[in-house]
Amino acid sequence: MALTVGTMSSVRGAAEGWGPADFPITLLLVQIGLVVRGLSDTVGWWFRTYRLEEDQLVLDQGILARRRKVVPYRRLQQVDISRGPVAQLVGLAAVRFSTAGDAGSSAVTLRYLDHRQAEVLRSWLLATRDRLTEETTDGGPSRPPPPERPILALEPARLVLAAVTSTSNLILVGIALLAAVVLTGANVLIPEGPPARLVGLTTSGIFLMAFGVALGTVTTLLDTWQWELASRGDDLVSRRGLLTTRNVSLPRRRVQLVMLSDNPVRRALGVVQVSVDSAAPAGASDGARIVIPLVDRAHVADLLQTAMGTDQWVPPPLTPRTAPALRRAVLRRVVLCALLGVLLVVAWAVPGTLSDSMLAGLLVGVLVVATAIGVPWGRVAHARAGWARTGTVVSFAAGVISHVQSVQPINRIQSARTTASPFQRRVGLATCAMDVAGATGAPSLYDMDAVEARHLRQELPRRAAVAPAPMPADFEPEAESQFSVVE
Amino acid sequence: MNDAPDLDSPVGGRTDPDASVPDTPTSPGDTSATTVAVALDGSVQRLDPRIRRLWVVAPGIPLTLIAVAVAVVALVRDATGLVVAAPFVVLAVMLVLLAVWAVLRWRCWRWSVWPDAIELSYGVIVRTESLVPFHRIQQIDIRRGPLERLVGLASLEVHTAAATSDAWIPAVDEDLADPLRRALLERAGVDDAT
Repeated sequence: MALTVGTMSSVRGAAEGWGPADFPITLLLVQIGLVVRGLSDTVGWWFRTYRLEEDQLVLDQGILARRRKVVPYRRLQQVDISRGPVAQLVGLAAVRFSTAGDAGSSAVTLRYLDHRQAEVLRSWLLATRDRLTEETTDGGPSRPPPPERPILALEPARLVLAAVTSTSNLILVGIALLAAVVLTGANVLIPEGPPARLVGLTTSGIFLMAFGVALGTVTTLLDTWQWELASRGDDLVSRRGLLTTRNVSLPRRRVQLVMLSDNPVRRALGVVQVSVDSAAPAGASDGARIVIPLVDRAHVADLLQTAMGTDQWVPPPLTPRTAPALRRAVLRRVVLCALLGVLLVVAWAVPGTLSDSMLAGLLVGVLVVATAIGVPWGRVAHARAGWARTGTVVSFAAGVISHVQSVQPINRIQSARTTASPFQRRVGLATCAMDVAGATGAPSLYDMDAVEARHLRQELPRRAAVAPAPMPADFEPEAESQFSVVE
Repeated sequence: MNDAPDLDSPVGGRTDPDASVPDTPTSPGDTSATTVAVALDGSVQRLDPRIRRLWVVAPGIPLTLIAVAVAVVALVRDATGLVVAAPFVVLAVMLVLLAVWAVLRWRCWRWSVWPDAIELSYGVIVRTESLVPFHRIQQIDIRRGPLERLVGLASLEVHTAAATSDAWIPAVDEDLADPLRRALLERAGVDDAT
């Protein structure tokens, strides 16, 4: 039966295709879907209540299956406010709370609040959290909510620069350039002109890449417009966005990881992107971090010192990897380039259009080109990789096209691993990884000296219990373990 | 982790599955009532040797089913004896390879419990060594599949707040899994100072 229907509809589809006649039906279905969603949202409004209790927030919702979520104020990790374009028009806002944990189930959202009410609610929640935490640590009197101090605001020109020089844009431009080179090469090499299919493919590819660049740039700009960073007591507060505005607050003491990333263009301009990550749930990729789109490399130390209240987060000078790592970095890239080149030559030679001497010449050429690309690439990769360790943080750096340096507090390390392939073992190297709470990948360094890597693995996770937090001197430690998931 | 394997250690390395679990606390300072048969001295432990059989049998079952199915199809299509036998020859070769791999894998597996951390080392080709301090332990699962229950084994999975943390001991004796978990969790509670 199903088969018949399928065949019939496919016959009909083949005969008529999806034409304008189908359009109203599709539109109707979309409309019905929207109405149903709107209705369930409207009805749901009557069933959605929230209550602020003395030490926790209770949210009840659900029409048929009632669900209750409880967020103890003391567990609050972040409180974000976001406002979509329509919400801005009618003066609404959504408040999202997240609590620490790796499960991703511990984020609670209150939608459709009056936006002024949302602001009040947020500052009240943060103040209450601070008051409760303080009471358990020293029992002292409650202080008034601390004032907000601006740290950094990015002007439009910098935001445009940040959006344009993103690594994904560079990759797209690179592919487009490659396509252009192929097209020009084909024009020069083939006297009767390149086949129409090749021309069509490359030009549409170039247009597609250009579209991707434009789209990515505009999206990033809309997301980061009017970017501001401030501090309020122990919290970092970030505001951004044009259509959807976001207001993220992140307690400094929960910061798990600071990452500095750049790419060749940003490096040439002397700028870097800084992200500050906390251990928020896996689903909350947006709220779990504050990303500073663009900072002058020269100002990174100052900025981190102002933002974190201490210079212990400033990336320490890196120790380079050992000489075997350099040899491997070069060798791996030469081999990779050579393999790719040989594959290309073989694919060309298979139809039998090449004589043996031409084939041999091409293979030698491939080896020369592979060496010419692989050696400098490997040397640069080696020069930009390294690691460092201070009393409070450990730092790994690596990458050529996308270069990332991580700064990770030792007292936040969860566990550590080293892995070594047979090739690495033969020359006494290993990959070292430090696991960080949450679902983000562990910062790691490839081809470290095996003895050093083993030493870090054995020592750092153990020291995590006693290592001092990279925090200002007047910082009061937390009273209890931070990783309780809200039920 | 290059220490010589210690096959006579009290945990996991027992070759006789019927031997009783020693029920005296092995750490000198431990006066609690719980019987802990776990040495917290970092001595090198191996997986329970019975896991070698499981590592062959578990993938062997679907392989055998596939071989039988292929042979049946061949018989139905009136194939000659050699074609019917071929899947079983392939099966035999694969089982031998699995057995070799299981022995190698078992030889490369080491784990040890220190007073403050649990440490693993495994991998035939890519060697992984992992250290999880007790104070980060969030939860420990004991898992026992049907085959594991049949031979009396259990696997222990230690979770931290990091999704990437790696502490999974695939084979300990079933009588040892619970004391081991309790010993680890006790430590996890004591050292939770951060």
